[in-house]
Amino acid sequence: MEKASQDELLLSYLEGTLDELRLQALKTALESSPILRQRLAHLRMVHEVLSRQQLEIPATNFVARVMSNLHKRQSSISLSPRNGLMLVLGTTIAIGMLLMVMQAGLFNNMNMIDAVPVPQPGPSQKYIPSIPPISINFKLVVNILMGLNLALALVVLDRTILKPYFQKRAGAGL
Amino acid sequence: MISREEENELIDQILGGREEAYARLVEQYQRFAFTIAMRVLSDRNEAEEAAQDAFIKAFHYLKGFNRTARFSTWLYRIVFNTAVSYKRKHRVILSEIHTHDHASDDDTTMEKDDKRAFVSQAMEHLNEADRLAIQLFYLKEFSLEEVAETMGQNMNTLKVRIHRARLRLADELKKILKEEALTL
Repeated sequence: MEKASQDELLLSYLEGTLDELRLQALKTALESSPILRQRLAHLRMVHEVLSRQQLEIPATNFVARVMSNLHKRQSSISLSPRNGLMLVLGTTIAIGMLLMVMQAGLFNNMNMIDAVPVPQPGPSQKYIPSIPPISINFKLVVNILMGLNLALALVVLDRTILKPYFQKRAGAGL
Repeated sequence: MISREEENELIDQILGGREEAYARLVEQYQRFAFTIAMRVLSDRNEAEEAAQDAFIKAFHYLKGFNRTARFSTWLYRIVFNTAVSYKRKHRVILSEIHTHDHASDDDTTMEKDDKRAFVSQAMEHLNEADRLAIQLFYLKEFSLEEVAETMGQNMNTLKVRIHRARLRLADELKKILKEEALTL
């Protein structure tokens, strides 16, 4: 007898679904084969142990805890999908505008903030040194702003539109 | 056990605004939900949290429940998915706790019931889906259809999983018992 069909036979035997003819054939095979008897012993052990499993018992206040937390989940989502969509649109428009401004080359030559001109001191006044111009890479600043906007748009999209939508779909589809 | 009619009546009441009626459904299915979560997470605290979360989700999705299936089947699927996502989120923490729990569990069960200890040792060699399938299958409270729907698998795939898992467990038991015999 092949191992696969032997296993089939042994499992059917354990489930009690063998007909008389196959049962007799198995009994004969078991008498003559210690390997088959060992296999049956192992499968029986699995069958017995797993059949003894029981339902787990949760804490006694399980129901009370569910009932008291019924509305806690909702409060974590403060934006409605409509407001979320508006916010996503807003951030997308902001990104678009920044992109347009960047492409127009507005920030290409803006790298310095000139210092406020200091009035020249009179002959009797003390000399005040002028403040040096501050160097700022506006292009980099705008890029960071765009990146932040994009991240915000994605988070809002996920939290207020995609997540609730898929959760609702998963709930409805079940 | 509540009948399907009674269940539908409770759902109507909940949807009509009588939220306290939901307590009856939670009471009815808490053990089943907790057992599924336990089989997925193997940790009591996490399982309780996941099962509670699933009940809360089910409450909020109740409007979308189309009643073609039983509430229980629908709920078990939510519990299963919630527990699986908990497992993904807390994989690192869980693996630490699980290892600890299992070690202490083994010590006690070895004294109480050798067979159980050997089988649980063999279970470690199964992949997660096979392990879960066989554990839920052997719980008399779940039908094969329910296990298939809960795990989101078709019946044939599930049957193959269970069959394969049983044979693999027997193979592993053979190795374990052989090693055990050698150490005696």
